[in-house]
Amino acid sequence: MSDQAPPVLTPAVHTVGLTRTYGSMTALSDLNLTVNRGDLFGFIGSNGAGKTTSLRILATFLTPTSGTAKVLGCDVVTQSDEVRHLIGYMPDFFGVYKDMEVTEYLDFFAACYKIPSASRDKTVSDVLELVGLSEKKGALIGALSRGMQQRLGLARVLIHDPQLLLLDEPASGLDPRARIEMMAILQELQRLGKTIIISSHILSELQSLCNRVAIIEKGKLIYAGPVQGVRDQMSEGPVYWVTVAHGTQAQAIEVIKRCDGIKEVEMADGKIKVSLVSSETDPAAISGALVTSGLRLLGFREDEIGLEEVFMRVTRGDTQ
Amino acid sequence: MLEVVERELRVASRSRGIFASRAVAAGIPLAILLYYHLVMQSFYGRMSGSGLFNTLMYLALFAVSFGGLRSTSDSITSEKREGTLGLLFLTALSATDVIAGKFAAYGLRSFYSLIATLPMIALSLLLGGVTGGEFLCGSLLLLNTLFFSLALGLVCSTFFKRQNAALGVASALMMVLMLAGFLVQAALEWWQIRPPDVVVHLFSPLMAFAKISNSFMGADPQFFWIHVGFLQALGWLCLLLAKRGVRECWKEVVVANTFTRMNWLNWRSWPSLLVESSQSLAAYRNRALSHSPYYWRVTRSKILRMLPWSSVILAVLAICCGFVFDSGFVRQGGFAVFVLVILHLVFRVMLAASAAFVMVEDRLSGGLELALGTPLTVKRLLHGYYWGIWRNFGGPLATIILLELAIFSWVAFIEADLDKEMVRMMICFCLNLVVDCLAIVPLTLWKAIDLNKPQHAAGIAGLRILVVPGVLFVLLVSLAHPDGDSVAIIWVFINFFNALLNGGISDRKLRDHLRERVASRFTAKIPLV
Ligand SMILES: Nc1ncnc2c1ncn2[C@@H]1O[C@H](COP(=O)(O)OP(=O)(O)OP(=O)(O)O)[C@@H](O)[C@H]1O
Ligand SMILES: [Mg+2]
Repeated sequence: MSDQAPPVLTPAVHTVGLTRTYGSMTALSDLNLTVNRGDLFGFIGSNGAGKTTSLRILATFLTPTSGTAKVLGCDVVTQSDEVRHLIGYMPDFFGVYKDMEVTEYLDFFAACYKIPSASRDKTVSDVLELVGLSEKKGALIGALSRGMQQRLGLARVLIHDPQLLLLDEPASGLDPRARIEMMAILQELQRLGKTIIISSHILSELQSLCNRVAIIEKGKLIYAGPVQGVRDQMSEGPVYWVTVAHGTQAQAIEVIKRCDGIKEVEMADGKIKVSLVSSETDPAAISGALVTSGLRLLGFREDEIGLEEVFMRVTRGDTQ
Repeated sequence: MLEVVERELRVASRSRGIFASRAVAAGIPLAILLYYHLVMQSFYGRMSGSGLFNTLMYLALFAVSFGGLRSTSDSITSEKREGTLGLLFLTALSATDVIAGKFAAYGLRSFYSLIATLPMIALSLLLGGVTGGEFLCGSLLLLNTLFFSLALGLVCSTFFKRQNAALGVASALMMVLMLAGFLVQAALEWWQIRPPDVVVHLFSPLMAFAKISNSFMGADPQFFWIHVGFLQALGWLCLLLAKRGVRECWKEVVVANTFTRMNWLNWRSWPSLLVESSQSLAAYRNRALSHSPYYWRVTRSKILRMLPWSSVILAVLAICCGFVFDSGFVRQGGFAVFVLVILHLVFRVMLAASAAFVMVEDRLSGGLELALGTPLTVKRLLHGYYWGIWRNFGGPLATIILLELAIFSWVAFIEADLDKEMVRMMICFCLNLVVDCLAIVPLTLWKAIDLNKPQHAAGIAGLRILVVPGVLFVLLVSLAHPDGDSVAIIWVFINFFNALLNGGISDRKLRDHLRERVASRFTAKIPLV
């Protein structure tokens, strides 16, 4: 794992010009993406954006129409066997045999990874412990709840201790509590040094969970980078909310408009929304101007623009 | 009680199957009727209705015997799986209410299907030769059999967790009942006791009808009522057992596979005859998994493993019964050959069905795709399938061939000069079976990659392996008029070539395209979870 990482770190995932078409439909076009080791990487896009397609290419299920993808330095097309050893792919379906017991199921996949039978038992109980399914060892999978089946899927992915996890919407269909638990497990895994790519629609969670995200729309990459950077790149400039005493708003707007670097000033919800041209503009100048013109400044805060909003802004909600 | 019935009926009314099953139930006799009318009559002139009546009655009795099992075998198991059985008991319902409600609700569909069949059977009245009384008795017999079959399915459903286990055991019990007459007779004759006729015909509805239709009501009118009463009593016994069982079984809704030790005095441990202990299962799993994951996957179900053996055992039983009953025909081996021909057919069909079943289930559940995402190679995966399927079927196949050798040596021993023709045919017969079985596995697996219904894949494989060479053979022989020696050679050759072609090509295709087909099909077509 990461403690013995090689001196020159190849990125966990590196794609160049990755393209995949289905007939005349381009599901993924010219994707250039780099995911570093140890990242918890969020992969965001609306329905049909091409998330599953990209993950399935990385998981060696699909061959790209053009372009290359490397997982931990191994090419997904020419070195697919090596790649399969390195990754754990959890698809957007369960893939469970309902009439198997939990341990049988995990034993089965452990054998697929050629884990020797001597260590199989221990490995299986370890992963079950990790995902919190220890009590369900002997249960039939068909009798597990949806959330438990999802955890079982996660356990299956972890059974061969892969370095890279590709999780396609692992939290879908979970109740809020189970979702938070799932996220906790993922953070724990990241702490253990795994690289995790997680695709999701649930943006608010990715915001606190992931350190880097990519936004993809109609098969094209729109943004890739740290979560904080999304706003800087996506929205034009910072936004501040100014609250002044009732009845003095019109006057305050006039004052603010006279400051430098102001792009737009408008009223919203009884507050004044001030959009700056760029993050270089000093917001203190605005508050200073308001105070010196004798207005009572009740509130002044930066707009906490969430991933959700950025997402809504960059994607127009159209699906392919 | 009414609440359960009402709830079940509401669920049932939403399913489209109930209409389909009625349509099928009415459609099959109608097809036979048309066939009789158009084909048979044009050959033989006007026929009496009794032949048709008997044919339809046998078919209907057979369908009712096993159809009823199918309806009720999932009635309690489904509640157990979903853990809702306990909820029923939290209300004021008693065990009797639950059993009666389930019986009524699940039986209703079969009952409707049966009712839809009766007018078709009644049409044979129009042809003459069948009296209204006979028809009424036949209908009563059908209803009575349905009652028993439903009850048997229900009782098995209370004692098993999985529907296929319940259905399997229920069907086996039904089979035993159908053969019970022969077995009792064989046993009695062994002790030099001439059993009364009633004994042979009492147990099985089919045999009972045979007796009734032979001497209809004239010679032995009481027998009809004896049989009806017997099945009624058995049915009520089943319901009583089910009532006792259902009160106990919901408490262990925990779906752990707890293994109860086999104890002949405790009827509740009897199912463990079919279920292996978890220790022996784990030991087997360990061994099989190191062979190949899919080897274990294919061989893990004991019921699937016993299926081919059951066909062999049934055939042996039938042959033994034949020896007990008949003398002349059997001594010439005719009856045994007839049974073996059927066995050969059934065996191929079972092989194809189980291969198709495994592949379709693997693919639809998504398990196969996940396995392909691991370093498991397609080659190793296919080996697992092949060896697993052969572990299930190899023993029975060898037994069939040994059995045939034994019968032949015996016939050769009895009859000093053995019919050479027949020996030759028999050897071809065995050769063809082996070759076909070898080819049928890859062919069915390959077909099952694209189809979502196992029976379709098995059907196509059967067509390609059995029907096509058969037609070719008949064409060739009727055109070329070869002599006896060459007929056998042609037969084997055509079959061999056909099997080699189908099996070889399918195996190649599986190796080359399995990965891509499984992955692409999966995203493109199949609705998930
Ligand atoms: N097997 C296929 N054949 C044809 N088109 C496909 C196939 N698989 C995916 N597509 C198309 O490729 C596009 C991208 O699909 P993909 O499954 O990658 O989307 P996604 O981002 O995962 O969406 P979702 O959030 O709904 O899971 C979609 O327009 C889809 O219709
Ligand atoms: Mg998707």
